[in-house]
Amino acid sequence: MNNHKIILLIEDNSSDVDLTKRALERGRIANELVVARDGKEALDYLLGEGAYAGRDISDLPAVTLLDLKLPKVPGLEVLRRIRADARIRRLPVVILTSSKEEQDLASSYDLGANSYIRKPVDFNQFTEAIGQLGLYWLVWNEPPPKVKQSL
Amino acid sequence: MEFRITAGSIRQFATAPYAFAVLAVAAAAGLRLALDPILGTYSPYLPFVGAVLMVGRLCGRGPAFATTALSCLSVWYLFLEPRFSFGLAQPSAAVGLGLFAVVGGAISLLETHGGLLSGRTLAVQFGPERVTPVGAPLVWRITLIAGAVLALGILASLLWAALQRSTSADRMVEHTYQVLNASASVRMYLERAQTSERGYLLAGEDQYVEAYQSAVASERQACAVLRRLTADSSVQHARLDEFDRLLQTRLDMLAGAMEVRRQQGMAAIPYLVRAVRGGMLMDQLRGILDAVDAEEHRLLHIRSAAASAADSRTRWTLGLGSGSLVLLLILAAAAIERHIHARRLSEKALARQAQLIDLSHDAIITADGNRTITGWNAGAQNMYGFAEEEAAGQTLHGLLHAGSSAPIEEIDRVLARQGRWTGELVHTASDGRQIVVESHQVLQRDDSGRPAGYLEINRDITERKRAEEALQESEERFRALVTASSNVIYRMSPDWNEMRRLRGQGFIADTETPSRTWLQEYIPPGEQPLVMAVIGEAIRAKSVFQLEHRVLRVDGSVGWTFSRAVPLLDANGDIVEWFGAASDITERKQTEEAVHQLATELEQRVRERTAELETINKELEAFAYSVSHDLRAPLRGIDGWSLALMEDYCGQCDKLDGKGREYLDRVRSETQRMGHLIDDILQLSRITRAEMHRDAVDLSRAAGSIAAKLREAHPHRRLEFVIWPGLTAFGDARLLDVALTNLLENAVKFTGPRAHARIEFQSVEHGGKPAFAVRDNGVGFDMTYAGTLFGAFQRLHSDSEFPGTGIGLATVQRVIHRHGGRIWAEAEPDRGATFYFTLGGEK
Repeated sequence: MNNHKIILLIEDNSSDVDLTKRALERGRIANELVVARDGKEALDYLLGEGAYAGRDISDLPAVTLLDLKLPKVPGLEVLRRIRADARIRRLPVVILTSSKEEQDLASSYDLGANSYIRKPVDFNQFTEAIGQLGLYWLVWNEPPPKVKQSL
Repeated sequence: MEFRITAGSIRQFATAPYAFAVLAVAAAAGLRLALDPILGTYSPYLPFVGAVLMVGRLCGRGPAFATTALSCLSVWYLFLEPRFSFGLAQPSAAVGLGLFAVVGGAISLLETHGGLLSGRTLAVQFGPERVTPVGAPLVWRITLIAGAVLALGILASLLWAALQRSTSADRMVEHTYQVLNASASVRMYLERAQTSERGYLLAGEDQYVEAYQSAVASERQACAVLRRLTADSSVQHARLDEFDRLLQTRLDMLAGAMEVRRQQGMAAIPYLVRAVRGGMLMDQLRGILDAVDAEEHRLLHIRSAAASAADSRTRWTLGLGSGSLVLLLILAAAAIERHIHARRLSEKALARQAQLIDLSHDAIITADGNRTITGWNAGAQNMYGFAEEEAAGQTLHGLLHAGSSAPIEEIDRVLARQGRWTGELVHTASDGRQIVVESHQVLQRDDSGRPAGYLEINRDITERKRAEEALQESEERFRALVTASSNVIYRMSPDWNEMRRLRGQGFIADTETPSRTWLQEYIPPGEQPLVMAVIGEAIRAKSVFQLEHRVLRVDGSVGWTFSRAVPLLDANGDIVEWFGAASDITERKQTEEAVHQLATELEQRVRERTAELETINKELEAFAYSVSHDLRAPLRGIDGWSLALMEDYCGQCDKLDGKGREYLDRVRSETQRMGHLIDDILQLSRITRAEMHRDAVDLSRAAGSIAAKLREAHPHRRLEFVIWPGLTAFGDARLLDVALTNLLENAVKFTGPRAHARIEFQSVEHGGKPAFAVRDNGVGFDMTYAGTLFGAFQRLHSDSEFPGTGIGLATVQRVIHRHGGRIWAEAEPDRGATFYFTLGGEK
């Protein structure tokens, strides 16, 4: 496993955060997990602003798990801004949500989500999904090339 | 009277053209003969060519051929050498004759078949009287013909007399020549007798005696001839008597001398010579003969002059006669031509008149004094349907069955008194139709005053009569209608300035006499501009005035009326009057206003309620979203942490006993159940909110693919799906798929205990209408509880028997209701269940 690959989890529900962490552990995924508790924080992290000022933003997470229902900046808006910024638009974004609303699905894909996973209520299934997800994005998926900084 | 146009008045001319041809040839021959002294043998054909031309022009081809033939014969006989015989001296004459025949034939051929005299002219006979040809009066024509005949007679007798005279003059000349000849014979025989006697005297031979005696005999004979020839002239007779006496003397003398010679012989000769010389006697005889000759020469001179004069006179007479003949011929031809022309004109005029009579739509009928039909025009044929042949010879009343209805005696009385009658009659046509006619009848009387004929002109007025009757009936009805009507009836002047009359029916005030203040009396001031505007438009367009407007009622209050008026137009299309009716619609108007107000209020309320509903819907949507998202997160937490508890605290230690683990399993299964419930509720909500996209849906195909999924999901079960092909509906494919899925899933679920599950999807007839049915052979249910079947969260089986949320059938019902359809079920415990549904919009 490549430990340098970061997983960005954008999730406000601490129970879900912990469950996700547990599921990753169970799936033997030891990569660094960065958790953003709301949309604003996530964008700060990705763009090196606010609390994350000075971070090398060209160091993109290997995958971002994005919940749709978020405080401050909602998930779809976060996705929109990611895709609108040339520096981070190549970031792989997986929607991880409870919603199965058709409209949410359509909007997510329209805005450029790479994948859409509905969190199952059954934790065994949830663990399975997270494990496969990690395996796929961290091992099999080739990450996008870094964007050249023209500063 | 006869309107028929017949061809062939020319039959009366059948032989006339040929007679004319002969006449023309004779005239040509006469003319040519008269010109003989001038022309001699030249141009024998000239007048004949003229004859052929004239005959051809006037009488046509046949007579022209005849003229040509006659001319050939005439020329051949009369003018070609040798003349007055059918012989030819020179071959060139034959060529000339042939040429003439060819030219004459060609001229004949160029003429029309009939010519002017025999042309197929149309003769029109109108009644017994023939049309008198236009031309000179009869007296003049008779005078002219008599004059011509007289002139020809005089000419003929003159010619006869001239010829007689000429012949007798010639005979006289010839007689004179005979006398002269006889005189010369007498002289000759005298001389010969004297010479013979002298020869005897000298020679004494007997032959001289014989010659002498022969001469004397001839002399006596000649004298007798001369005496006979001159018997008519006494002068000559006297002279001949003297001559006979002297001759006797001389002959005696000669006879004596001869006797002397015979007796005395030669010696007597001298004496005899002297004696025989005769001297004076001979001179006397010669003198007498000379006198006779002189007389005859004188006569010859006179008579030759007379014969010559007679000849000349004959020739002139002949010339004059021929000229006159030619002139007469020309005059006759001109007269005939004029006659034909005039006749043709009159015939044309008559033909036109006959056509005009036939063009008339009126029946024009003529009858004789006994009222027997003699004439029947095309109009009569059209009107009654009888052909002319059928009608002719019948009596008018008999043919048209007019006897029963027509007052014939009355008509006859009027006709006898006034000569004409006009009135209406009912006639029966050939097909039995009754025809009302306006009849004009005229009586014609003969010279003795008896009825000679009837003229009847009938015009079909059946339609007019019918229209009149219909009009009268309509007027009566109309009057009754107006009387019976509860409507206000009014009449207005063409420009609406004046109200002529109004019957208010207790609704508005009556107007009995024309009023110019009606507007103020009937129409509230506020309404007047509108009313006047609509009236103005109606007057301009000459169309119906129609308006609902306020009106001042009898009691002074304002009511409503529906007023409608039509313009009555004259023949020029100008308005004569407006005729109107108005009804009291005050009550209706008030109701209408109330209804209108109610409707407005209702609309407002509906708008408000709709807005409320929209808000609620939005909230519901937000709620559903929230449920979908937020209610599931804690469930996941419960499940996750329960599992964590089990894993972390039961794996290697005994901190949790079997009972505790069982409870945790219970917690987890309830959590799963909760998750399913949430999902089902969300689907139900989504189905309620989803927009409908109706289209043709192949239900058989949809059911087939659902069945395939179900088989896949239950690999260990023996499932038989019987799905009818070709079941289609008109609806939202996605929603119908949800409904079918739920129904088939249910069927699969409730056939669980069956070793062989049989599930059918079919179309059935229900109450005369088609319905779909999903039938299974599962556990069924008690119909007692069928009423709660389609309520949300309603279940007929325990969760342990058949797991479920109780929302599936509620969802199905929602789908069916959204399609305007109906769903119901029939079942029996353990005998299976059937779910029926219809779709309102199905095709």
